[in-house]
Amino acid sequence: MPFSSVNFLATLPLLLVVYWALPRAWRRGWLIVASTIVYMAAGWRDLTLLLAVTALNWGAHRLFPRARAARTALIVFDVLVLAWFKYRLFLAANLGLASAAHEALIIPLGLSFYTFQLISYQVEIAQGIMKACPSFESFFLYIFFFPHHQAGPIMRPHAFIRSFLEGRRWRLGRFKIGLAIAAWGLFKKIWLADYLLSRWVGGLYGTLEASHGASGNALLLGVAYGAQIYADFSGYSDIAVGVGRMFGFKLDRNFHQPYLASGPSEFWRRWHVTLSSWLRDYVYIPLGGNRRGAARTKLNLMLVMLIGGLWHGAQWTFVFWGFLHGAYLILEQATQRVWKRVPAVKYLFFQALFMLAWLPFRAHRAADLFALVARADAWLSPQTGPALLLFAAVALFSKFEDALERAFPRLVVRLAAVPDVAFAAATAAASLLLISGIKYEVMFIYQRF
Amino acid sequence: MKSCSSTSGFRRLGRGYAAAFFALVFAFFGLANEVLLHAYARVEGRVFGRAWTQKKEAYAARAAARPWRVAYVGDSTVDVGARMDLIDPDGFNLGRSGMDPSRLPGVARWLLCAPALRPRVVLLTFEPSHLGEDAYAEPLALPFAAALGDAARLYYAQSNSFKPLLCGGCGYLTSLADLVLARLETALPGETSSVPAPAAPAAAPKLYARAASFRLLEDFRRRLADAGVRVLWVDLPMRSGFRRALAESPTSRAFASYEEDRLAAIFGPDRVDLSALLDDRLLVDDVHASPEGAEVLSRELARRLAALGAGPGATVAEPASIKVR
Repeated sequence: MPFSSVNFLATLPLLLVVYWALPRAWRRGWLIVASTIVYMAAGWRDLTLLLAVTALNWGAHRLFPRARAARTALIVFDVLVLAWFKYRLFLAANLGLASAAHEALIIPLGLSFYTFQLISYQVEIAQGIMKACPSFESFFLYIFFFPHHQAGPIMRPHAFIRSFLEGRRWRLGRFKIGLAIAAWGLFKKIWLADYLLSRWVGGLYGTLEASHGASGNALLLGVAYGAQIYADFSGYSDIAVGVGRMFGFKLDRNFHQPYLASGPSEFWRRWHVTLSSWLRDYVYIPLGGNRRGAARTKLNLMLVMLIGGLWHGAQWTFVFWGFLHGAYLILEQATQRVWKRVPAVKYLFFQALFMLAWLPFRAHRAADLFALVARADAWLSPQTGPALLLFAAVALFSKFEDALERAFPRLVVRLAAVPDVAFAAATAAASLLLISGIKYEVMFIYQRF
Repeated sequence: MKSCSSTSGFRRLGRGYAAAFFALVFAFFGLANEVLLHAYARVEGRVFGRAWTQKKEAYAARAAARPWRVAYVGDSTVDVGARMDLIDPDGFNLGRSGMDPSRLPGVARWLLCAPALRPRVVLLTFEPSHLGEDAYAEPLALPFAAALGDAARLYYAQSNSFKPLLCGGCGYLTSLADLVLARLETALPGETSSVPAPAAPAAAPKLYARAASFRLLEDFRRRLADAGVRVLWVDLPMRSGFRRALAESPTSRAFASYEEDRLAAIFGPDRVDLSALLDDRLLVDDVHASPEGAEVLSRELARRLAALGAGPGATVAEPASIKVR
């Protein structure tokens, strides 16, 4: 169930009230019930798969506590489950198997996200960072806790599972902070991503596709989708973090104003942080990271970004998006000295490249893109000015969010001092404003991955 | 994280804090929402519905001298598709763009408020999306139990199923926001294709069986029938692709079947089905007739009404008592 839907927002208070009213020992059980209520929008099939895979990953440690081979086998199994549901048609189509053409691929909700979390669990046990979780309830919630089961953040197990094992105490300050973060996320998702941008961006790309690349300005298409996907996914992540805090749990933040990043390596410390840090820790470093010479480092960077691209979806356009980001990282490394003298130029240059990389991410057909970028007027046309203005607006918005983030510790103190009745009134007014913007059923973009 | 203390007496509620907090939020939310709904309803005629007000004034002006025989009530399909000069020269087109069934109690109240305004026959049409979508313009008019039942039944099928109950179909604040958005959208840069786009196949509309919509039709018909007014349902033409799409999507198929059952139950024989009457070329989009299409369908409707005894020559029995509310 999308967090930006009326039904979720109407159900959330009930879930919270019952959760905090129950004795502490019962709260984990209620969280499973609450998460089931939210997840059931995806249907029994998805829930059964999630339950089965989770039970297997937990149960194997109970049956074979010392077997390293069992852990390796589980990681392979988790990857195969992901591959079966997400990549089998892609593989079949590229191998020329005709039967794949008639199948419709329905990816179970949150599969890409919880597979990575299950792998984290096996790896952390193998590395001795944590011991196998003794409680299935807590382990299940590590995967299934509803604020993050649809599209992350991808949580690391050692701290997160412990918070379920220990349980949480009611803290008014934490609740208020959670409410404020969630409200900000809802504003970005409902008003900016869905209400303002979704139809407009859909129209721009619709024109691109209808004309087979003969119309459209590359920069405008890139910046417009860059703005939409940021508002959409960072909005979702803020709602997840905020709702998590309202239940007493701290979820990792996924975004730190990526459009203020001065280069690709910084961009990936600011964009979808829980995914990029997962790829760094579980793919890049095991591959040797930057410890095996310059050429190997470049290869590792490219491999990680290709995997990151493929993780988003079984399409060559996503692979190409990953390739572009891999190339940007290599380019940044190779030209480090040049950029030191001109940081502003570096910022503008790489931000333009990030925006252009959204083209393959959003477009459905690679052929349309090739036709687009081959046209001279796709780069310099009357739309170039508005594209630059839009980018300036996106950067200013990011700057504003950055200022908010810096002021956060002071805001926390002030928020705690707001009288409860005034806070309730402000929350109600905010709810009214936010809910009134819900016009259509719009999924979060990352729910599809 | 450091525990933050509360500064009001609320804290004393202890564990019940969350419940008290959300009760307050809902109270404020409900109050603010109700105030806005009522405020909007008061200004609607002046700010958002000038064309509708003019239409009602034109209807009332002629009716003062000689009552209309037929009033055709409905949405934009009626507004642009029904030529009353061909259907019944003594009839008036009360169609209005965006009208949905939640407007019907208001229309019934107005038609029955003075004998002069009361027609003998009322024709009624809503295109399927106005019956199967959740955007009600007058959420205060919704039958609460039916709307609550719809919301609960569609909880998973449609993630905004509680919208009509919670925020009045968002018709109010969103209407205001739409005014801003419309200006903003014209300011946003766009580009039209120099290459003609291929004709897109009709998308399957996401329509849901909503008991509340049909309860409103039922109440409208009963209320007018009590006052001696005959109400007939008219299915206006739709594009073949749209009709096919309606039959293809499982949700919309369920809606179409429910619509058929309920309309049959409410209107019985007082129904005229023209849904497949027009060739696609006589429709400007999925449901709206072109001027040529309007002429064809209006002539056919006149013929069918005559066959049903509701044409210009027909008489309708006076009711035993007229209830004016």
